[in-house]
Amino acid sequence: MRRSLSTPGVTGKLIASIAVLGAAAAIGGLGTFATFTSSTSSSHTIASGTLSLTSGPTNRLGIGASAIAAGDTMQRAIDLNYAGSIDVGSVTLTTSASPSSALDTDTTDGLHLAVDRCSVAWTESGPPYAYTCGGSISTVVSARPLVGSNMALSNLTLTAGSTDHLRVTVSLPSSAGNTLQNLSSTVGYTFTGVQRAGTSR
Amino acid sequence: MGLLDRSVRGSRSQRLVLSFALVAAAAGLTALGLFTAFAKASRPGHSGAKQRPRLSATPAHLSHVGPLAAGDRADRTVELHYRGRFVAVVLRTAVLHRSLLDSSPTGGLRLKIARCSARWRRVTGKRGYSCPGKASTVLPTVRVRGGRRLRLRHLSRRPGATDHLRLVLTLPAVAGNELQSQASRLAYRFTGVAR
Repeated sequence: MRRSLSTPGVTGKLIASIAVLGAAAAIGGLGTFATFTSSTSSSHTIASGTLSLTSGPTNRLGIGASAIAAGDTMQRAIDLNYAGSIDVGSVTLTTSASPSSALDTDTTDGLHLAVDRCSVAWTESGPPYAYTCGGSISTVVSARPLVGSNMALSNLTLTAGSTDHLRVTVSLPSSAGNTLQNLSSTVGYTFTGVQRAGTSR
Repeated sequence: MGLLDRSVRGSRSQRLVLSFALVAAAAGLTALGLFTAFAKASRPGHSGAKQRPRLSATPAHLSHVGPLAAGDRADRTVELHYRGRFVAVVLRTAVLHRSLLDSSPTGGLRLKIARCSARWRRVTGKRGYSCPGKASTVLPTVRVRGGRRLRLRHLSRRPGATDHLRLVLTLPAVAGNELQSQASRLAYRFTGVAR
């Protein structure tokens, strides 16, 4: 029978006992100093919305007019949709002309713009296009020179998910003189929506 | 040769056991020594089995916030209940689902926490809350992001008490279009440190 050197004798057992006691004391002592904590959680999802201004299905603004004379008017309809999840606070219209001519630079006798809103979709006839409203009409932009920046639009619904039915009327005043003959301007319309003011949700 | 090998191995083994014993004993004595110091610092007569301190928050699931627009604010209330005494309460925020709302340094969400001495009262006709008692700021406005460890101030932390908290989340007015249609899931972990 061989004696294994890995088996401790009396001295070894003593050393091992001290080791065990020491380790136990260490663990016990350290455990005493562990800080008690208690945790609890809450959670939720936070989402931002979208602001979306689109046009259609009615949008006749891309259709031009030619050979207009002093006193003529052109009507074009456009639907403005508030397609996002956030209400719109305001809408502005910016018009620009390129190429430009006296038709859009002459603010007195040049082209003028007016915008109206119908509470229901406009009833279209033509071409030449003309529109009648089966509901109530309100003024969105009063008559003014055609080209302008950030024109404030009034009397819109602006509610997310709704549509405003607009009629844009462009007219050449009766006072337009011969200098405005045989000219051409291409006008672009940009509607810009700004979100409602911040609120408590 | 074989016996010599064995005796050498035995000697190493004993040294190892001895070293371990000494280290363990030293650690034990150190710990016990510290405990003695701690025990002296404790209040006398404070003995006997005690309930483990417990901090709980309700509700566990806060209602969804959104859709937010720039400049919007959302208030949610949380009740912190104490069983036992705590010396501190720490809030850890974790983002369970990431988006620009929690990562944009300028336009991202902001969090502020207020405490009311009484239960927060809903403002009639509005979505906010008013404090019928005394209000105090528990956490000044900070940017919301994951992994934050924020110490909360002005809490009662008394056994049996409840702190009425209002979490105010704000999407800054300067938030740009890139922050549209984003969603983050946030977890608020309140940790009480017992004395």
